[in-house]
Amino acid sequence: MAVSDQKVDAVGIDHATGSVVLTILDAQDWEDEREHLLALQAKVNAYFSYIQGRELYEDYPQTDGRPVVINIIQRLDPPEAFERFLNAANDVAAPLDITITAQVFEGGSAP
Amino acid sequence: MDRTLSSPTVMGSADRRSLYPEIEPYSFGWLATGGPHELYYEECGNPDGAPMVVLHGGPGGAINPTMRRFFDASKWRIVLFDQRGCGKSRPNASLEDNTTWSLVEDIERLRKHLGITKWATFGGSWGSTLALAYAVTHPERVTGIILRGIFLLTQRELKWFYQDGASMLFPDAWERFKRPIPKTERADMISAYHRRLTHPDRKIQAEAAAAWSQWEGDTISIRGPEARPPKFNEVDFAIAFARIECHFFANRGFFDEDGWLLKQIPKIRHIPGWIVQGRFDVVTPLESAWTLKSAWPESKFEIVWDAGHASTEPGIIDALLRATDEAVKV
Repeated sequence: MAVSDQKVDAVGIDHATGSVVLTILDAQDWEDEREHLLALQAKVNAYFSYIQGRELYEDYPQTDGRPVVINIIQRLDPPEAFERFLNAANDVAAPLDITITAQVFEGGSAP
Repeated sequence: MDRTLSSPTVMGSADRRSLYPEIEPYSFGWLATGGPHELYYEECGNPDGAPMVVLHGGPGGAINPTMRRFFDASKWRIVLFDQRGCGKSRPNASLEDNTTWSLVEDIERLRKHLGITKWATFGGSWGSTLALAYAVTHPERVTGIILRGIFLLTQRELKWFYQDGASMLFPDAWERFKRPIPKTERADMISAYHRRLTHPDRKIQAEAAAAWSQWEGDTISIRGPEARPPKFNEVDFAIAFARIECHFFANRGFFDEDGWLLKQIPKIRHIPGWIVQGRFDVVTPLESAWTLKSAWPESKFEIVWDAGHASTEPGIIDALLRATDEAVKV
């Protein structure tokens, strides 16, 4: 699944934290850093709209009232620029009560 | 008995174990597939335990809380999901882009999403078919295979259950199964049902789905139609179950040729395997398990002498619990 798809890749509820976790599955390579970050930015913005427009709660009523985490799962180790992107994205997300996290999982080829 | 095979274990009924205690998921969610489907999944047990994916039957069935209870929750990280069109996956009962191979790729998609490198598979009936199809396609991702009620999705098995065979053991239930189909169409029951289950009129679908589902519900247990599980009477379950199951069978499982799955077994003989089969399984008769064991002599094979097809029959539960306990140590 390409990171450029403007849809939600996965929605989950973590009972340990009580959070709703919206996942972005990012299998794109980092050959063109700028293009990759722009695609991620578009996707994160689409997720913000999905949450703020309350579509999330209409599609998945179980998620209403829970803290929201957007988790970016990447297949490849990101460059330093991604750290800066993540910090900037969290600055925007914090007033919306949304946390953005990231992790790398290399378990297999891209989806 | 073929001397190249080790004898199957035939257990007595004393001291059988019952299911592990009820557990709730520690997480659940929906995963997009990139097409029209999204998959409902649950994670139960120990997040740091050995990963296991549970594959439900049908095709067209759904996961349920009992399926979580075949595993020691302190040792396994148990992942369950509703296959395309099933249970809480959406859209319900959809046949679009719904094939064996799209389901195999869904298993991979889910594995990657959950950050799991390798996992064991657990499946009964159609779940055994799918577990084998997944394992022969991605053997490097599979640590163990636990199967119950083996179904290789061959024409011989389909003919036995939907045309001529099981009908001789359950003439009462067969009478109900053939009722919606006119005599002129009964020479090919799967095709006749397929026309009705894909009919645009939901009323026609529902009537056919009820009869299709009840036939399987009536024959699933060694206790016969009196033990039909209540879910087989539920309209929504029946429509999804019957439509999807019939779609797969009318398309011969989307395999290249009849018996394709069995020919692939050499690819997975190195993977630890457990086969559990009810002696009096009418839905997926013992012959398929026997044939599978013949092709996979390294696997452990247990015939439960007093069981039919259902996973909840006492002897089947006991054998599956022993298998999962053993598998977690591998």
